[in-house]
Amino acid sequence: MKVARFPFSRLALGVAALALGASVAQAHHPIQAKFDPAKEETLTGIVTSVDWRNPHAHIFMNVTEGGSTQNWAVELESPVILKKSGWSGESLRPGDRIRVSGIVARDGTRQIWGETVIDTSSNREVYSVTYTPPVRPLASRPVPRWPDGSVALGTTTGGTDGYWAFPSSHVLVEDGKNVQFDGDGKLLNLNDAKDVAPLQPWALALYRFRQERNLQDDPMYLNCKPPGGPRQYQSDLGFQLLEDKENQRVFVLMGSGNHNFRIIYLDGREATGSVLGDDDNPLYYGRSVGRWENDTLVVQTSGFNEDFWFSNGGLPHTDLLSMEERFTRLDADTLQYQVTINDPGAYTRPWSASWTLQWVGGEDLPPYFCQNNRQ
Amino acid sequence: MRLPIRGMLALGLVAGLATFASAQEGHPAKGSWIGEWKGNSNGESVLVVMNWDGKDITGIINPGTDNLQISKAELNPSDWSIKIEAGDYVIEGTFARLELPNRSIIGTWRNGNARGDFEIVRQ
Repeated sequence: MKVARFPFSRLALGVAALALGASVAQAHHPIQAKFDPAKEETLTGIVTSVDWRNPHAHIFMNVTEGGSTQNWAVELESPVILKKSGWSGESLRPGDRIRVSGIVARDGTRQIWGETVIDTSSNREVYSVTYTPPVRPLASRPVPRWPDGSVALGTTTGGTDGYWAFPSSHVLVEDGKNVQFDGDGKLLNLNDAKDVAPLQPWALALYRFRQERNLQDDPMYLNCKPPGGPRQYQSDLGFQLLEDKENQRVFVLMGSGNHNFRIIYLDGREATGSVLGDDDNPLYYGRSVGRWENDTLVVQTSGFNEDFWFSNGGLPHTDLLSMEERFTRLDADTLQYQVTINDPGAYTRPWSASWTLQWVGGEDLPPYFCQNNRQ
Repeated sequence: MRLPIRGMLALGLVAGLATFASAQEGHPAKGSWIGEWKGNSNGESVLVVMNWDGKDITGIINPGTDNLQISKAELNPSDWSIKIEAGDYVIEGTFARLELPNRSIIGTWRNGNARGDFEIVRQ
């Protein structure tokens, strides 16, 4: 089964581009930034090598047509996802004959996004993505709690490892709005841009500009900028909530990006001062203080810089941004995330969005690093 | 064509600083900008600092003893044009390379009968 594309891994192939001598100016992109959905192609050829490295695995293949042979790069999902789907760098070997269907690079270079890869000797599909959410139990399991009775947002002492992933939404859109996107946050209809959130005119124009450029300027892909703001909860690679009860703080460990982390202080401190920065050094994740309201962790965050996109799809924000986030573990396998955005620099009024995430038990966060040639 | 050494140095400074422009994904006008207003008898180099408070673009031109406060600045996001008024100066330009942190504003300046080309690059 092939599942929806993973927005976190829409990265381009700088390695492949170098190997091909192609002129790729930027290393990472959402897929539509680099590949044109309107340019479908099917190629048959011989595997010359498999490059099993983040941010994306690649197959290189020789394609012979009209008496000439050319080498193509086939871009695949990240090795992390492919490995979870049961594949390895040895699933194909040089000399294997394959048929690849997908969409080709917008710039005309010999690069293709491998929608399907068929080993023609056995006629079996390889490198298909089957990384899917865990099957939910038939009956919901109770919320795990600490010995003091408080809700456990992550793993309790002696409990099994796990993390939160598979968000029910990959996009930040105001609650109640019916707007359609692809998995990268690209609007299916650009005219819906005005409905995504109460954007100020300049912010709406900038959002449309980013959308019209197929999100190719996304600094998370271009420069491995952290997925600050609500975006950290919209990656399929997930995040881990580690509760340090003794020091009254919660660590949010990111499964994507560069394994960044964020600290939420629950010790009653003011939301000012040094949190790996200082008052004059705003941060990608801002400064966060939290408190419990019954079984919901309520977090206030401000102090963001403007060096990143805080949503898939490129909704703008400014350093006036503050957020109230509410984390509620509805049952053992479901986390509800609610966020209220208050950014008078980019929006005409505060607005809210929400989605749920699913518990992935018995596993650590995937070892994904947003760096070329690393895993 | 030979460029005057001072001009070459200024160009190099602008280009060099532009290379290190910090990321800025918020309001496009916000930041420090360096460039030239050609033909200005008070000096062709110009430094512009702009900020966005959520309602207005504020800022200053050539911070220092001979600075000019920006009295009015309006961005038209439909074509990414901007009009800046400071003292007797009126600057009208358009953003170029909007997607980059070292984006530019290119246009003209005027002050009474004096006028010329204007170009600044965000640092």
